[in-house]
Amino acid sequence: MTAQGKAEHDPDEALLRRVAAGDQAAIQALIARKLPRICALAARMLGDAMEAEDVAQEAFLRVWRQAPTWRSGEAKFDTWLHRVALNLCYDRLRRRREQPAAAPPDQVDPAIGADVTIEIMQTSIRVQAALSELPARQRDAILLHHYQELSNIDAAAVLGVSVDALESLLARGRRALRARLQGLR
Amino acid sequence: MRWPRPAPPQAKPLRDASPMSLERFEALADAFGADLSRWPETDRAAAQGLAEASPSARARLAQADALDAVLGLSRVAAPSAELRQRLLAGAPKPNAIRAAAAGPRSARAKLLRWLSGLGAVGVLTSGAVVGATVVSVSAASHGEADSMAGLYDQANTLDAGGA
Repeated sequence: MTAQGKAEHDPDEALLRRVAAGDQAAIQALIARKLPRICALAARMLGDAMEAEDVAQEAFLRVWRQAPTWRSGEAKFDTWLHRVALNLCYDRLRRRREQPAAAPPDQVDPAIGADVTIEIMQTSIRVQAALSELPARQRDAILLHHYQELSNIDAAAVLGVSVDALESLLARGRRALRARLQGLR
Repeated sequence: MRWPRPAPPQAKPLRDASPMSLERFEALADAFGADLSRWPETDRAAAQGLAEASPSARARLAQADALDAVLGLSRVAAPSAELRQRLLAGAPKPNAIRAAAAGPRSARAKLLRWLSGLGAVGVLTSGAVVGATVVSVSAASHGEADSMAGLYDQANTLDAGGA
């Protein structure tokens, strides 16, 4: 068992060192490796593709700033990046609550692609709605473990909870989703 | 790392050798879904054994699999090409480029240090013994002054070029 949330062997560390040195190939590789995942997390958190891209851009600006002073052995880079993105999403969700008159995010994301049928889009919206109705911690646990495919240990580290607490959040969240999404598929 | 980290979650001791109860299996399936590779590492071997032996365990996995499939219907947009370009524009620059960018500033700093040195020399020599010493210092420094002025011009040229 690896150290929980720590970087005994961080698969991103070598790449991050090259990023800090301005290695353009490494920068492109890091973007290719992380950007789609961070955008997906933010899109599911916020339900808005434009806002998700803003969050991803801010998260990567922090990566560029952090790379030269990254201290190995403290946390996995991927765990840290997810935490940064999650916090940026929390900020935006908080602002929405404080400014309820602001326009709600688009429920249909036109950027998903022309090959997606209306039926698939509607199903996706229903799943997204069910996720967004979950208590925040249950939603976050499911996003990190199911969609972001973090291990239980890394997802628990991002959320700052024990692995037992993560298991409980996942179980309650999935039970609620099963009830809300009955009849789909 | 700047974000505060709570005490890391503790892993459970290895349970591979112990048989798993159906109740525990169901709890894990409810939490982690049908893909055993996504279950806690410490539980996988025992869970695999129970899944092979127990129809009830397999039924619970099938139930979890159905929910996994529904969750998989959520689609999100891929990042735009414009976002990738914005990220590249803000990314760290190669060391060589950074060094070149730092060059003019270094030259300017050297020039300022040199000029302040001249001031110090002036103070030291402002006394009874002026004449020959000042002439000597000025003459010795003249070549360097020309050289530094050249660097200063170069810095201005580079600045203008980079603007």
